[in-house]
Amino acid sequence: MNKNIISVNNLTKQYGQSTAVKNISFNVMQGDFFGFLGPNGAGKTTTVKMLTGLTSLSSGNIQIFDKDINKNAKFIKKKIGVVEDVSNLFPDLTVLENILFKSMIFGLPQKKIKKEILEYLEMFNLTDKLKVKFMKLSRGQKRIVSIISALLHSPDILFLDEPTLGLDINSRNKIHQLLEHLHKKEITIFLTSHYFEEVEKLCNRINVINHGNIIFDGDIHKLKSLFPGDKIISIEFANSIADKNLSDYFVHYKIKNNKLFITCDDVTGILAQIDKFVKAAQNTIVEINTEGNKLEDLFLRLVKQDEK
Amino acid sequence: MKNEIKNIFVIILKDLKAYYFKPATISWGILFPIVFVLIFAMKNGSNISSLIGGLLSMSMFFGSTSMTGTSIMMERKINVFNIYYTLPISYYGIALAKVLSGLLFGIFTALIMFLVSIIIVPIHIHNVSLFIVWILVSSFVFSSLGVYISLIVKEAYDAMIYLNLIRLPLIFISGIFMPIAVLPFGVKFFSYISPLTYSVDIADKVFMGKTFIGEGTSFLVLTVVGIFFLILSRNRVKSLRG
Repeated sequence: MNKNIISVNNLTKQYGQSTAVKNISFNVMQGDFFGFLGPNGAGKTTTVKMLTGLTSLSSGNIQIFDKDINKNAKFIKKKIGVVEDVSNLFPDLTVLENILFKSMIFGLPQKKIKKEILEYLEMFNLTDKLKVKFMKLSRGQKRIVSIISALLHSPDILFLDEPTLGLDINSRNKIHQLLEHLHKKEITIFLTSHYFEEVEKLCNRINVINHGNIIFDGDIHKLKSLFPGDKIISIEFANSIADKNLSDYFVHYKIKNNKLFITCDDVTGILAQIDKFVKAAQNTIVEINTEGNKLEDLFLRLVKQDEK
Repeated sequence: MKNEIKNIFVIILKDLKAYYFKPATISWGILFPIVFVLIFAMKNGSNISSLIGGLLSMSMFFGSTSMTGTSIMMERKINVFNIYYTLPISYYGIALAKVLSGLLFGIFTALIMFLVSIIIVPIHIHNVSLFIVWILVSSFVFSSLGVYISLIVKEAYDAMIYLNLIRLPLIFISGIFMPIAVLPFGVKFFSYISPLTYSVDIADKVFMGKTFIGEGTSFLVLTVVGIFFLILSRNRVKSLRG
């Protein structure tokens, strides 16, 4: 059975008068692909910084591998990899020099590391950048090299704060592939992201933070079950539908700009009703869309509900 | 402990590669002191030999502080300083690595200046061992001071301005161009709180065989001040983490 690898208890972070993180508690299990979501300023980055030793705790405690982060900082730092929200490697050093710097600090064999760097760089078609200064790389290339440098000491936990922010779809997909590959190798991954499809695709557990409080802890299925019946079908018609008797066909609906919005649990069941209505009204559908139950919608509803 | 020492050494090597040839380091650390020596050589001719100890102290002062200023300023400005907090190294280790990389640059600057000086004027070293210890201790204290100032300024890019605000006045009150004995009483007070004064005092012993304060006292003051700023720097490294 998987065990707790990260335990966060009553964690609080204050900056002067403002409280960025308010008494939060959560656990991350070994092997989890843990998604940490929240709107801007919710406390995601502050939490990651506390978990990785980049900032101090105001109160509460963090245990990683059952060891207190304050008392066992050196031990824990050897076991974790950190990719911050900004690409942060030394700009005046080349990609190779930056990576060798980290590998020397972690006491890794240089020959093996050079081989590994090349393998990773090849994966992202960046082998020609090995001797290029970090500052000369594009934003996407910097992110990729930052991730590679965080992986070299084979960490058991990888913390990634917005790793794909600002990357093109191709680079993002490659990073997703790499993260999936790492997850298969039993590396626990703690990910914050603004891309909901990324979290939905990769993470098996999600925590949502808002105004410094955890407002959800579970998986995507649990989140979906909190908001049943939230599939929305929107239909644009060729002719006006204002005077039609819509209540004979649909229970929950509204009309806006000659567009019909139907809320339902079961899309297939409602399609038959739509067909009946179109035939009876002798109308034509111009466009039909379904939305809802995407993580992004659920997240927005959750945050809205929390703010109420 | 072994790993800590190794990690300090790795950070120093990285600083050597990344910052030793930055324009700010070269201009403030090497060119500025060379220009000073040349100006005094042109004005005073062979009398410059009496100033050489002070000028070398000044070179180390500018060299060490410029190096630490440039490296810490750069790293803080672009958030790269955070990398150290993700590495298995203590706060003391981080502070000491920065102090030692400044110290090495101070020694490097002093040696360049020494070579430039012996081309211009005849120089006699009275005590070679004292000369070596003087370079090491002086560079250490100047580097510690530079590290601390670079860490306490709120905006990292202000570091060089603050460093110059401290460095430039100290040149004139630390016995380089004018003996402390002849300075007005009010200025003398500031002379005695300047670490440069004690370095210049030892330099006088090295190059002229005489000292105003006493080399033992000067070494003691420099060592205490150096360790004091190292401790302050370690505390600042910790508090900068936020």
